[in-house]
Amino acid sequence: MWKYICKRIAVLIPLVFLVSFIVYALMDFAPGDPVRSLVGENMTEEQLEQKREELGFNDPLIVRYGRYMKGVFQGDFGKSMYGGKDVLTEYMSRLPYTLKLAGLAILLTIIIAIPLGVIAAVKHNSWIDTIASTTAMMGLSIPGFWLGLMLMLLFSLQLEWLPTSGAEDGIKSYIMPAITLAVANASLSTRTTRSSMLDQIRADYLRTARAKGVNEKTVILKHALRNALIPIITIIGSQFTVMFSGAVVVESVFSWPGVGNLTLTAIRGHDITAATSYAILTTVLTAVTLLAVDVLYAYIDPRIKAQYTGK
Amino acid sequence: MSKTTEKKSAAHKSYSAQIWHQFKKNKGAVIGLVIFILIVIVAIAANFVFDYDTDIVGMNSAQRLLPPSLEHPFGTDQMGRDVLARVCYGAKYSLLIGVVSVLISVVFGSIIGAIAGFVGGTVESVIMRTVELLLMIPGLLLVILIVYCLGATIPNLMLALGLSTVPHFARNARAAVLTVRGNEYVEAARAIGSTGPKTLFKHVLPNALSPILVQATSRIAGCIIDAAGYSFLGLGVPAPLPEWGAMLSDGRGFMREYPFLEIFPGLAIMITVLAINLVGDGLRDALDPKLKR
Amino acid sequence: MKKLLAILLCACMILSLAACGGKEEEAPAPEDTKTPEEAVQSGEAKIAETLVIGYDNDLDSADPYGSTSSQCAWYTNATFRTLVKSDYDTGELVGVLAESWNDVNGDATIWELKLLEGVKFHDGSTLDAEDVKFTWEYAKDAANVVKPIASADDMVKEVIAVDDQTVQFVLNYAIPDFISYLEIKIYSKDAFDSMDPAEAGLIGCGPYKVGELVSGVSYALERFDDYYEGTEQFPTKTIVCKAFSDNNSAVAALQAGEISYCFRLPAASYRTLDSDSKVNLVTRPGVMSYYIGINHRKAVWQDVDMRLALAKAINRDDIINVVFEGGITASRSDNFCIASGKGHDASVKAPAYDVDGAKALLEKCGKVGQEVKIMATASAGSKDMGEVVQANLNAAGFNATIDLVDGTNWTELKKTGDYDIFVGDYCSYSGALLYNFNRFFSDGGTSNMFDFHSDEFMEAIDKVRACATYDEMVAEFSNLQVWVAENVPLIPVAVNTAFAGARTNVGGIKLAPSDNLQEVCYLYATE
Repeated sequence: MWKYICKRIAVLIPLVFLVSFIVYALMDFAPGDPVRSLVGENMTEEQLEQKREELGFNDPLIVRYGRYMKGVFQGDFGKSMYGGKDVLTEYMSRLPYTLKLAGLAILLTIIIAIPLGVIAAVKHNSWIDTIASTTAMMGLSIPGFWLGLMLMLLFSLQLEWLPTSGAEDGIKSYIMPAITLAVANASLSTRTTRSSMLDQIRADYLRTARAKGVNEKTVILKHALRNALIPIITIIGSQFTVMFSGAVVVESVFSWPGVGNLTLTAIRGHDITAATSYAILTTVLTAVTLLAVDVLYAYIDPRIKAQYTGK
Repeated sequence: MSKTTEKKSAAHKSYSAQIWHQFKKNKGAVIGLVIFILIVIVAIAANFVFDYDTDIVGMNSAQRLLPPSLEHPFGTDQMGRDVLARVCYGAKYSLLIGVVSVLISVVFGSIIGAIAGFVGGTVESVIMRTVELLLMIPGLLLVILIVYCLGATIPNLMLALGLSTVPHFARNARAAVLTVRGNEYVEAARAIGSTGPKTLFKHVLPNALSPILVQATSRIAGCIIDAAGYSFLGLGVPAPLPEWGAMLSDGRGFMREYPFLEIFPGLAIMITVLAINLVGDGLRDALDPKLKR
Repeated sequence: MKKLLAILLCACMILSLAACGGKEEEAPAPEDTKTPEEAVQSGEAKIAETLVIGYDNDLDSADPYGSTSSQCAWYTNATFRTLVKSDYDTGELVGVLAESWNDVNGDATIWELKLLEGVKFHDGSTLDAEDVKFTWEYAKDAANVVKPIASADDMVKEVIAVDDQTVQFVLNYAIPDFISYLEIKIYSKDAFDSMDPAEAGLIGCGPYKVGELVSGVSYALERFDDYYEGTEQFPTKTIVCKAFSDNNSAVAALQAGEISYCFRLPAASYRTLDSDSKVNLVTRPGVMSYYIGINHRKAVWQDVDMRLALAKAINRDDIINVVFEGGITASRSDNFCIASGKGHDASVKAPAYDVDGAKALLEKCGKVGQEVKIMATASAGSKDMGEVVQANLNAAGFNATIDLVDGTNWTELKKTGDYDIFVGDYCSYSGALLYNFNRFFSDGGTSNMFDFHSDEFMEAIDKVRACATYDEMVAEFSNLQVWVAENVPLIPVAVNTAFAGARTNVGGIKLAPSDNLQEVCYLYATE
């Protein structure tokens, strides 16, 4: 098992190079002079040139990229062009907000989707099933940011129950952003849970168990759910990664101080170093999360574990 | 003679006719299809019914921010433009972006995946490793970067959205090819002497078609929502084009007093996406061999 | 069938949500409420220790020369003090850290300033001439800072610290209004000697010092109790500014009471806040000037008749009505030198709206149907103005299209983009008479991004500079304004009306005409 984990961690190195090069090169290629964007109209041409020289912008792309990557592998992710703040510190100070929000959204997803999906599958074609499936379908079709705006309209502006933005009001600030983030995922997860449970319920081995006389409830909970868990975890795992980057729109609507917003600002400000660093950090975090999910699979299903460790 | 022909045609109804028959049984899917066709008609008709310069982008300062009424069923926006006209006209952007982006994804992704699956060996390894790595890069990041670098125009947005999902389709295509490669009747076909590419086309395509079709439909829905989101952030369709996401962004400042500016474009997105999702569901059920009669 | 019913049910619920839009009529406010100032004086109310305000950007740097952003500017207005200050209401130049000044030789080539005694910096050191000399040299060097001293050209030969409280500026040529260039924030040299430059750049001598900075969330100011003027004028101990991702969120927060004051509000929110009984609106004429810039690199716009055609085709009143809420959030401007600007000559007017005149000029030049590419940013005001201008130009026989670009490369695009005209804005506030005309229209001017060149203009501006006294300069300046109005290097459109929203329990509001001039240090809220 450890060999497998090490192999996966080793993949991170080419990943970091791939991501960083794509982002760095694309941002460098983007139109506009980052130095001029930084200083605005206040400097003469000579001063601008001096600034460019000082920030190292006159060197060719490969040299700058090399210099940057050397720093990265020493743990130095560079400084933001705007205000000179240390990039890694900025990212780390914002990460908890993103993680907490993502965590809450996933929790909501699990709490809602799994029970709903299971009940819908078990009571297949009843009115519960219809309502669950329809709600899931609508939830999948609703644009997240629009839902966020509608929630804000109702709960903050009309009813004044919840704060409009920011993360400072304790649990109250988390409610609307988490719901907005969770809706699409919960809908997808409900549908997946339902269909994978349906598959399981009809499966042969369950027929055997029933024939043997095992209690129906036990059949469902112990066997069906356990096997249905795999695709469910896949969905949840992949949603986790979406939440890192997909939260950008939610962060914009609710002024949530997460890493998505940070990355977007860096890209728009043409801050090449900061943007590349944020991209690397987010991608690495995503890869680690996926690894954790895969390890979870192995824990649940010994067949999969054999797949990893075996030939 | 005629009797046998009839029998034959009854038994061997064409593949697509069978799918359609199955699809029709699903009421939700049919409603979705009807709504979708209606939206397409509205999008096309809007080009002729409304005059772009006066109705869509012309400003009329006397009629700013009027609430919904008989004359303006959806109200007017901050420049005095009729919201209903803009919503109808804006349908074409969402539809075009959704369809073309997915087309790009499917074409490029399938070619890459099929090559990988068919050729095998080191080529396959290299391609699939790269695909896996690309899958770990947050898609949103890729899209924002491409749009930012190339400029926020509709073709660029289509390209960016399309490219960001190529890895998914590549993976599917390769899996489909691999499934078929080991298939018995392909072996048999080979034994008879059918050559490589022909085999690929004849046997892989029908098999691969269903998952691709289903994924493509759900991807179209996803692209429409994504495109609206990017326009909302200011990275998508350039103003003053009446794209739904951009309209939502514009109306934000007036949300409290004039909520209708935020409600109608959002409803439009939701209904369109819902219709497409219903159709996608219907397709998936119709194409699923396990659910056969 | 069941699915269909369920979907219909959901659709109905959503539509009913749509129907219940808009706020009901607010109950009128009770009659006998005291203003915060009265409440405090009569002893009825206490002053809150912490005040929360809002802004739609995070603080990028607390170093006044570390960033050109407005939030850095107004934040450091509370943490730093300048040598002199131009009162934006009276236009008068008053000394702040400089007590007095005099023209040593009488020919405006050497200026000597006397500094106040006993001014303390946040790190405990005292203000002296070395600090001024250090600041000037440090911040003039582009390698050290992002925003160098305003004098981009080499006005100053050297700065001499004559003694602890006296500093001399030796100039390269005579500048009668040199002191007006000294609105510069002063660093503490002692801080730079003992600390890392990143930290030393935060040390000023203002009434507040840098408080808690939480990236992406908030930035705070803590009252500095050793402030040289005493702290009676600064009742609030801690001022916290919440960072929002855009100013619509700030409006919502203000209405919900999550913040007490916000001076950067979208023009669209004016009506909303006006009708909200819990929010007071404060307005004043601003200094944000909106204009239409012209690309002088293209041959067609080097012809003054074509520029006049543009100017006559544009209807400022249309722009005021659509973009600026009928004149609430901006007022028209017919002179590049704005109404509240130094030396403004009210009789000078840019070419008036005259569609027929514009058409006639186009015919005269044989350019009917001339293509005009308008460059604007995607932000609401810019885009709307672009759309109105487009409609105006098309009605006058031009063929105008809009190109929306991302605001971050704006400066670069003005210089290299392929456009005909663009929607521009700039902070027209300046203590110095010629500052704006110089930077926009002189050869090599830092804001002359559209490569305007005119020998006539250079002669005219030199004439102003050559005047011996300030009054003569002002008189000659009128001629310069006339020249600019007649030759249309760009088209002035409007000047904003600054407005801020404050909860009814907020006092000490001193609204400045633009974001970078705001002074939040006087604000307080009653409990």
